Amino acid sequence: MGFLGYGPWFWISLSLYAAAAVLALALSARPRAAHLAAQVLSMAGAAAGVASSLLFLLRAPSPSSLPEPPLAALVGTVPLLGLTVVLDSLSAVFLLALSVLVLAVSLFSVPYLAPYAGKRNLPVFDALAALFVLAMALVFTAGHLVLFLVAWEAMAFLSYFLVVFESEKEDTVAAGTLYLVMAILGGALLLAAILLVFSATGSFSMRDFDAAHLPPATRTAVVLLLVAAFGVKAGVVPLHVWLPRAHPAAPGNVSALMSGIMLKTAVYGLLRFLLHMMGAQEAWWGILVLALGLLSAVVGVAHAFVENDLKRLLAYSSIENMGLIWTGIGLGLTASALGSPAVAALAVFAAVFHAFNHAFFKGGLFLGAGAVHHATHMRDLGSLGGLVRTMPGLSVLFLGGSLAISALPPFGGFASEWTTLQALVAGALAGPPALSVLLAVAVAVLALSGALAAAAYLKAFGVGFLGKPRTPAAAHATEAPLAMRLAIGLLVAASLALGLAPGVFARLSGLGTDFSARGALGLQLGWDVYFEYSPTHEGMAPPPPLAGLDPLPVLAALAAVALAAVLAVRVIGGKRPVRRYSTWDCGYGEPDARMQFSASGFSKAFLIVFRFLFRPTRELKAEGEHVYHPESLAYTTTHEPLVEKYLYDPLVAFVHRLSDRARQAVQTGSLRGYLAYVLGALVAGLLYFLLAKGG
Amino acid sequence: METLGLALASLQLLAAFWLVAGKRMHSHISAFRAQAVLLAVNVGALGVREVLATGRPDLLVVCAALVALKVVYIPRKLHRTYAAIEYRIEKDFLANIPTLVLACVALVLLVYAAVSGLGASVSATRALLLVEALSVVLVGVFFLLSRRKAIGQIVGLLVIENGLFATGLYASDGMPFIVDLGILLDLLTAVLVLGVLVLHIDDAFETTDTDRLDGLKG
Repeated sequence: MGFLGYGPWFWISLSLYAAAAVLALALSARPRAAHLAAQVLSMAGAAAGVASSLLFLLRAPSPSSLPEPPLAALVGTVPLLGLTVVLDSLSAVFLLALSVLVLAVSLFSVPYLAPYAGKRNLPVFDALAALFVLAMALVFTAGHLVLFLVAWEAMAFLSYFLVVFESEKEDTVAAGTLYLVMAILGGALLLAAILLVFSATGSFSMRDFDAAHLPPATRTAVVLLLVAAFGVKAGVVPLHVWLPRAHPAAPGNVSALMSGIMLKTAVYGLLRFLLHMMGAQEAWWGILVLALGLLSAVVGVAHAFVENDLKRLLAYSSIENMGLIWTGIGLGLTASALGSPAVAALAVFAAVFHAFNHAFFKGGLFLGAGAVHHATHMRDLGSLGGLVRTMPGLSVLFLGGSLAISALPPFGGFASEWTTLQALVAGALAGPPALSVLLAVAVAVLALSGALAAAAYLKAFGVGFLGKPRTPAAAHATEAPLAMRLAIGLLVAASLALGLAPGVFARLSGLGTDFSARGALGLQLGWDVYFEYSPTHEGMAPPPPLAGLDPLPVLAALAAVALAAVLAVRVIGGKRPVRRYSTWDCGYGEPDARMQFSASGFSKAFLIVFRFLFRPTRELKAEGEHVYHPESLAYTTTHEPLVEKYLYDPLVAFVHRLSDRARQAVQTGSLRGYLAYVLGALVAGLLYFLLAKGG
Repeated sequence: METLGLALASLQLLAAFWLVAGKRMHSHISAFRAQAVLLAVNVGALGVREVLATGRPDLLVVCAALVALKVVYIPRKLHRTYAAIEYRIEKDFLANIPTLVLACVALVLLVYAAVSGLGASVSATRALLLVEALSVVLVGVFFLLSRRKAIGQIVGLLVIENGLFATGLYASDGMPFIVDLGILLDLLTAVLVLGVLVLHIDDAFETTDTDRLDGLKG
């Protein structure tokens, strides 16, 4: 298929990203041309990436009887470093998501960043963005721990520069600094884990890694370090603090890339390291991941619901979705460790599927928020409203994305969340009693977070897009440019397609048959049976098959109901004459924007019910002489970030105190003190030599 | 030959003790000069042996440079610098002299213990030579630490360098020619710069007590 294999296409893709970066810098004297050239080249690179990953996934279908299909090495080794770049099913799935997302984001960036040309150093930004994408592609395909680490750190640092693009805003710089600190922390944890692995196995290769060489204590340490490192990147509670600040601070296209695919590197990393490389040996690994996932899902979505800033809402929702994905991975790891590969395969498939879906609909939503900001220069839901009339095209697309993320059929979000729930139920039926209880709780938690997510997006769309405009800027917004709508449309359409035909993704990815930790699995995820599975493995007692549901008949039924409703209205209501007049309105006159639900009012009840979590405060300020007829009323409500206050603030204060004291103790400023350090170092060196010899 | 080397090395260590035990700047400079003479004799003796054995005059050239710099030029320069600021006599040392000397003895014992840890990998003579040279380095650092005045500290630095030079000499039968000359040239520069610096410190603070530099801390 195709005149080139997936290998050449992959390298073409990487070269085009690199060329985009180089060309943007070369043309920096003419920012507009540089911007256009960089984005067009990035799109070409993304298209090549799509070709490469699809060609890989569509290559001769691997029979499911093979326990571990041979991993294709694209290129041998770079002579001196021995770095390998490898594409396998897991890599290819993530590469596909990356490529599709980059395609849309680059298209979106052409008009989105155009106003910055000449005012800011746009070519450098474009170059960094292209390199950022390149780094992520390498993270997904690195076959060598050193290359993985280098690409990982490059990704973190490049994205920092993208986040602080609008560096004149203090908030942006502070958010960027927090992000950088957390990214360095995560990188350090990853480095520690990799060095531990190296010290035990003596090899940096990810492919011939054998976890059996790791002593149990080292293995435990490695697992904890890896979970923490990937937890920072994924924004898992309580390591999420950077996420709700960095995403809103970044430009819309960067947020889309970061939330859409950069967070997924953590998903990839967890699967690659804990499942593929280390083989999910102990059940508690999965339980840990599962627990973190559930915590993130609830805390993330609860914050998303009460948030009034559109991009912060989306960012908190990303935490929730990462929580869902981690829940799936956690179940997969546990089931794999307990010897229930069918459940493991279903859970891992659900996690990857949701990650894949989330890349598209969250990418689309962040781009939508970017388009709104582009048109109105506002992100606060309390200042928006009525966009459905001024920006109809964008509104429809945003609605599509909202439906997808709220896990409503027929979008992909429904399919993957449903699969996750199925996996949890299957695990609960098959697992030992203690696990069953935990998984039953997980099902309830997921149901809760699903409902809250729907409420959050109801708020985002209802307050931001429906009703009357609350500010002149919202009233006079103009429709987003065609390129933006096309880009978002592409992502929403992809999400819709995944919802309608989830079996195609299942077959395409070959997940559950291909890279699962422990051998062959009988998982069959087809077009028409994607809610069923038929385990053939005799490990734990296989759970009974669950009722199947095919999305196409459901969709047809929904369409029929909608059609019937329209017809009924026409037939029944059409016969009566319509009279248009204003009803009695209690003397208010025209209803105005202040009478609609405000953004805070929409979620206020929830805030009050969950006040143990939010610690809300409220303040009503009246201005004017008369108590009953104030000139103006100002109502403000705030809530406390609990994790920051009780975990990070004390920690930061402690580190500050400690380093202050250490500085004062060490940097005395006394010349003799420094000379004493020299003598002390010499004496210590001799003593060490003496003791090392003696011991 | 070995006996001569051992004797010279021991005398160098003795000179380092002389340095620590001395109270006056002139005695410091004399101690340094004595040490430099011993070092130059040592290098010269090795140089003569090398000329006789291989015909290479490298070490003799180094010896000449040592004499010119460390025996003649630097001590004179130090004396002159000291003369320029001699109008005050200040208490210069931290603790009393016997305590300082005892601490230095402890340092020598530590070095002895550490070098004896090398075991049979070096000959007994070479091990003794190393003990003495390394002890000179440590005693030099200790001297640097125990004196307040800038000019005394310069002498400490020079003694450390003597010790390092001797260590190189004993550990490897002389470093490469170019390295030796390079070090000597560095030393010359350092003494020139430090001499100027001492005068400036004296100018600014009315003393060469480096403890006063603490006030510069930000």
